[in-house]
Amino acid sequence: MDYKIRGTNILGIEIIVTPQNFDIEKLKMFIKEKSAIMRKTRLVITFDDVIPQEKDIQELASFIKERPDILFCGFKTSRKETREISLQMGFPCDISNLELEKTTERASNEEIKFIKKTVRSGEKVSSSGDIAILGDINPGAEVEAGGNIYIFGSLRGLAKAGIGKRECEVRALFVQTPRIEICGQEKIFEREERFHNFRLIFKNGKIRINSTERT
Amino acid sequence: MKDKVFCVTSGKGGVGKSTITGNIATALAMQGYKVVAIDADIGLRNLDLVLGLENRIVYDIVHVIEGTCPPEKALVKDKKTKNLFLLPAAQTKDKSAVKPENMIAIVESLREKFDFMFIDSPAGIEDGFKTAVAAADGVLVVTNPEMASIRDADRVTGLCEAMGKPEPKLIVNRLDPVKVKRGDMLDVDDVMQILGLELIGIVPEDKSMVAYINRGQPAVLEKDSLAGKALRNIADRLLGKDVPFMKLDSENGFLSKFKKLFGGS
Ligand SMILES: Nc1ncnc2c1ncn2[C@@H]1O[C@H](COP(=O)(O)OP(=O)(O)OP(=O)(O)O)[C@@H](O)[C@H]1O
Ligand SMILES: [Mg+2]
Repeated sequence: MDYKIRGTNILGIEIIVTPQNFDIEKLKMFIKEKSAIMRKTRLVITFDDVIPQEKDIQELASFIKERPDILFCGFKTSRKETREISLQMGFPCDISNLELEKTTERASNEEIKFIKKTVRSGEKVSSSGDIAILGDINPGAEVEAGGNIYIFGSLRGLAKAGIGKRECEVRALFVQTPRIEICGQEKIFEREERFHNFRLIFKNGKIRINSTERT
Repeated sequence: MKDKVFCVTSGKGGVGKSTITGNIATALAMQGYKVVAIDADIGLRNLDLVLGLENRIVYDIVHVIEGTCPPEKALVKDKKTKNLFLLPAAQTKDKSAVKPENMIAIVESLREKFDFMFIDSPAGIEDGFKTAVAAADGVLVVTNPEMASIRDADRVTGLCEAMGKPEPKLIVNRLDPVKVKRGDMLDVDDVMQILGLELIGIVPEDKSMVAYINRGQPAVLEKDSLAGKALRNIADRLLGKDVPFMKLDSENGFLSKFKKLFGGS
């Protein structure tokens, strides 16, 4: 059984559990299989229209606890009941209306393409959906996505995101690059401009940049 | 299996591949290991000069491939350093004279008889580079602390990955601590930020490098050379020893003493 995963707002990974694939054992298997991409990455598990039992949550929590590499951040759900159970068990749980998120263009429905390495000079990676790089994009490398690009490292090469889209984002832990292309538009940076915890959003035809530190 | 065949490569030309190959090979031979240095820069042979063996060459790698002589017979024995052998490049041929399968065959026929083999790669990312890397268990990427060289090192690292080689180890060559301090040269940290490879050596700029070559005496044989010491350290790290990186800050350098004398910082 497969679970959908996608990037989250907190530079991490979200696993989406639906009524069709709700099965704690299989979910555990899935996490185990994908553990390589979850190493040192924040993890959120979303129960979409699913109300797990206390023992399910307990089971899941102790399973994740045995894997210190995973930074488990809690649950998300569309159901009040689920939120209450998780809070009782001591886990954070946000109510999120997944239907709403699904309809905005930015949250793409395709599974993320994970690249578990640094993309080096002369290399090119592309995907029609989102791309998550667990490494850097080096000078002279190119990453091209129909959707969003998440970089769990430094962006020094070229990122082209949201090709053919009107809304999209690029995130990176560090950015120092001459330019980023987003939804067909170009953002040019000065030679010495650097950003930490960078987020570039393209929405309503405008580019907005957030970062915690900018030099 | 422990890695014993290393390819020294860089993408960019002139960054110090041959110098480093010759020196690490010599340093290991000095410690009693049986070492072969293979010059894979066909048509631009150089490694013989670094080792001071230029006028001792009879056969070369292309003779071996053509079947004129077996690999052992083409090896030039170093008189100064026991246990060190050179398999010279052909000077009158071009890169197409040695194919990856030829290099693999030669290396495999010598593997059991030696403790280490170093293959000096030509510059570039074409067939010559691919032939040099093909037979190696491990790759040592050499870069200078400047952007063009780093970019090329990054490129060859990606190509080595694509060829299924383990992640290369990095050597930063020609680091000049005075220039770094002045902000005129990238620091090792800057290089590491981009390449993100395991660092196995930092070799300082040594003005006498050309003199050593003229004397046919690799830097590792010079007691007082800082570069020689750095290169001996690389050899030790390849042996699995945990050698701390030398302090290369200019405090100990001649220039800073000079500056101190005159009240500079
Ligand atoms: N640490 C150093 N300090 C000073 N000079 C150096 C140093 N390392 C190498 N050199 C000098 O740089 C020049 C190029 O070195 P070398 O021939 O080893 O490079 P290479 O990468 O093999 O070049 P090619 O790509 O042409 O094969 C030589 O003149 C050498 O003496
Ligand atoms: Mg050379």
